[in-house]
Amino acid sequence: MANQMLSLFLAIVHGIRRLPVYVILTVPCITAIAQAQTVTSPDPGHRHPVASDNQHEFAFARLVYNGEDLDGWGPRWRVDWPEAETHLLAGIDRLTRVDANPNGALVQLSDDAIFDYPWLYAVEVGSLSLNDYEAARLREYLLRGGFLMVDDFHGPYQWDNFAYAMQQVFPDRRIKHLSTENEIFHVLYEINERQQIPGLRPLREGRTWERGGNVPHWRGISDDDGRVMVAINFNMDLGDAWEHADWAEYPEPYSAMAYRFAVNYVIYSMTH
Amino acid sequence: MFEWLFKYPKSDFDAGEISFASTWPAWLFWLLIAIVAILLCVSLWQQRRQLSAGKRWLLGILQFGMLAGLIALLWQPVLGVKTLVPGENAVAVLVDNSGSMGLEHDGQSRLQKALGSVDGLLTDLQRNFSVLPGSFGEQIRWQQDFDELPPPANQSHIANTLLDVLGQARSQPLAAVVVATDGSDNSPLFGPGFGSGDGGGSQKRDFWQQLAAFDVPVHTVGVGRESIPEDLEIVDIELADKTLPGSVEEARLTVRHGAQDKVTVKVYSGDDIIALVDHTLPGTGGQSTVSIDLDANEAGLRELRFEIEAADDDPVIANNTRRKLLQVADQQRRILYFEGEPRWEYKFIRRAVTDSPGLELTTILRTTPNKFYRQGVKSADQHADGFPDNKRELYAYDALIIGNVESISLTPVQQQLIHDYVAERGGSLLMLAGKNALADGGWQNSPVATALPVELPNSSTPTFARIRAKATLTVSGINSPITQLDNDPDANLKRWAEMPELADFQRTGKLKPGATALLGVDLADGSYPLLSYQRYGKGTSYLLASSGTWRWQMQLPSEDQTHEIFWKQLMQSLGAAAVQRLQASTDKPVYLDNNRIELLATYLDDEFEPVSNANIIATLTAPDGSSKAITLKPSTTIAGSYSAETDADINGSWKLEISATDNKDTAQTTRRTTVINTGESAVQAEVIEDTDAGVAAEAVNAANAEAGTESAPETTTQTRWIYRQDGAAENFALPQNTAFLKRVASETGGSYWNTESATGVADAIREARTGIVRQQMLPLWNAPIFFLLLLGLKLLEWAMRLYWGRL
Repeated sequence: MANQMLSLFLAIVHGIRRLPVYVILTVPCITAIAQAQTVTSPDPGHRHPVASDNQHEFAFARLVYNGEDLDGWGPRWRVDWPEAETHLLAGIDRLTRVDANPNGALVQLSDDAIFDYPWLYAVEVGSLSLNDYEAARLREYLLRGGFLMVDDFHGPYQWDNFAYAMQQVFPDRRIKHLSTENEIFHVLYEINERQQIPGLRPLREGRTWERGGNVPHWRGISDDDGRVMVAINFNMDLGDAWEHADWAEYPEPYSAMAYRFAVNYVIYSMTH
Repeated sequence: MFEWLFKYPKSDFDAGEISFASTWPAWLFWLLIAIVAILLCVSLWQQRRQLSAGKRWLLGILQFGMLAGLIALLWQPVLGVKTLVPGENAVAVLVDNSGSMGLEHDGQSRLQKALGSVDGLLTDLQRNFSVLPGSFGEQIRWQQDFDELPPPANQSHIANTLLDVLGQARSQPLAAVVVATDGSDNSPLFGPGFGSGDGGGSQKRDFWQQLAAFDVPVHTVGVGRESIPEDLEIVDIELADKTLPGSVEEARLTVRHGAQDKVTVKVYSGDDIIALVDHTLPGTGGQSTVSIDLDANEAGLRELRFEIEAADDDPVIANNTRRKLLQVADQQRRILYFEGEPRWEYKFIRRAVTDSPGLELTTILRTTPNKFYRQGVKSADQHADGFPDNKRELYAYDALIIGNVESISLTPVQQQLIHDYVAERGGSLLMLAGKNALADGGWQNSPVATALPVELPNSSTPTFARIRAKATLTVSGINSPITQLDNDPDANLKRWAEMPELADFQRTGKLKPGATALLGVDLADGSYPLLSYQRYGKGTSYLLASSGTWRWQMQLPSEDQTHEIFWKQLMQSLGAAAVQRLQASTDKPVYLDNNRIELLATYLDDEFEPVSNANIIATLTAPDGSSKAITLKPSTTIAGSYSAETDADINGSWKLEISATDNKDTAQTTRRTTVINTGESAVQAEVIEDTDAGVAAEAVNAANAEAGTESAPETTTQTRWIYRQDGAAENFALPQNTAFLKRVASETGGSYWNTESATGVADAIREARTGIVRQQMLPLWNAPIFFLLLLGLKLLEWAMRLYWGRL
């Protein structure tokens, strides 16, 4: 029942039409104001488990970033939380030898605990807004060896916003297309044919895309040795595919592919 | 006085034997003694009324002593002694004429002092002996006298000269050898700080035995001061001859000094200063060690020159400089890392050493229960089935790292292989911590446990814990090249104290005897070794009881290289310690005033068994570009060992290339077909391009072997460099080597003298009576002592009788 209610709520939220351009352009301003506010933890008990609590090698750390979604739903960072990672972590535990913590962790860029988690997941990064300090922190995190997977953002406007944030992080690094040949798609599963992973709402509307993001893109930012530091899943929603893997109405092939992408990203992040 | 009383000097009595010259029978002597005793008894018995018993006893003893002495003199006591025949014995008087004898003190050179001390000696000795004057440097040069000496020699070979002199003089009776020298023997056998000079134990023993066997006393006259406090000298430099690109090598200089406070040591590579160290010396004088870390950088030959800045009063500046060659080999140490599950330590270890030019890391990661992800492999099917199960595959690596792997995941054969890899192959093993590693992985029941530097506990509770713990540097770790984050020991301690905490830790048992802990960790329940190692068999085993060093990388600024430095240094140590199939060396790296070079090689097959019938060819290239090839001959006593000797006459750096080629028979017998596991395991691999011709050839050989085909004989080549320099040896080891000179004297029955006391040498030689001697029987009956003794006995008797009134 709860899941059905949540599904209905999400459908309404995702059904709102794209916001006008001028609204998008004001997002950085609004988030700049909002960043002074303390991020509200949805559940303090699930805040980042410290090392003394974390008795596992791998912890799925979700980036908590400032900025309220303008469609009034709440913080963008918490989309699909916590079901997406708990489902995915169960899959990682079953499919690999990764010693994964079954519970995810939540971290903010300003929190020193971020350096305890070399894996970072950020969702709805079309709304990501960083000030200079946060951009420097994320840059430092990635240069030390951290890995960032971003997901669930769609269309040119959200891309522009995300690209702007990444420009703040790495002014001198370009976002590049990750070809099928890239090792990240072969580190465990041989993913030679990629497909767009849709969110639940567009699927219900009979499409695999949203916000004009018709074509999926796998992009990345690499370090000086060519290792992918940021895996960018643009125009797709792997989080939904993980979260709804146990829903009959969500097609299994999408979930299977989303799990394979995620497992490869995790293994890649732990090997490169 | 002694000689007046006994007619002859005491030394005659010490060396001689007293006997009786009379031919009268001994029984007659004892008969007369008995008769005398009886007559005295009768006589004294008759006086029993006049004299008390005590007085009669006293008189009896005095009378018996006098009469017995008279009877003994009738038997003609003699002293049998051996005396040197004048003019028939020779004494060799040798003066060191090497360069170091030119060193002056108080306005007089050592040579002048030596000549002064032997000048009077020659005249004195000539009364009894035929004197053979000679000067020596590298070899003896006999002379008429010491008025004209040849130019100073570049070396002084005291030991060899003595053997030559004693050997040459076998045709002539030699009563003694006198050698005036500073004792600075810089021959290959005894030269201080010249490679094997401090070693060569068996050769030195042979020398001392040979010297003593001549049974000719050698009297050494020590010349020169025993300490020269104003002279700074680099006595020796300990530095690896060969290293890998990117590594840091520690040079340890032994410096002899006086009361100097500070010295500045410069290290040049060619004309460039590559290191400069200010070092404070203890004010007590003596020898001190100065450590300098040198970056090997890229492959190539480094011609290093170590210099200590000389003070104004330093008498010999030439010994403030020494040269060394550091060969940064253009080859990589191959390291295999087997990891049981994806984890951060694996990732960050790989990242730390990826760009390290001297290391080639191959990793096998078990990503799922039946999948292995391999990085750094040379072919798509290399290690496709996981951990190697045969010697050829595993022994190709110089070091092996075992991560979070439970022992049961490897077969007993593989576990034994790991043990043998360390013990027999001479490889390096590093075991890491993990929830399935060490004791939690059952390794305490594996043969591998015996190789590890710590005991693994049989614990029912997990020993691995994800607790934060800080690594602490041990005393051994302060100066270890593995844990050296800063050249300065105090700064190194500080760096480690400021390091971030580790993410996890695994409790182990105590350190094994002979093992060394470089890092420790303090937990609530006690202190534990964190990074430890020990020599085991031919190899070395290491244990790092954590898998959380990755936090050093994530907690420190991205530009900080501490994590990378630690792992590179650890990996370099792992690789450098490993035994190589072909090991080429020379008896020493720097040849000062010595052109004789001994070439040594050891050759093993791909299973690291000695090969005694390989073709080992050395190509020696001189500084002028000319080269010659020498074939090394196999040792008859040590399997797999080869050696040869050659000359290197030109000063400068000589290149030595030793190549080993398997004979065909050997190749056939040592090749094995690799057993391929044809399981269903899926594999992923990141294959690297290999530009190393040698390794590529090995891969081809392996492929051929796997295909069951016969391959061409494999050739392996090692390159070494040596340095030749003439005119330098005499500038070193300048203080008088009294220990050596005293040993020479004591081994031969001679004595050690200084220049002031050397006038007594002639008497000592005469008294020793070595050479052609004549047996003499010297009469003792007329020695004054006997007459005085008889007279004294009689006078005493008379005095007693006078006192008793019974005269």
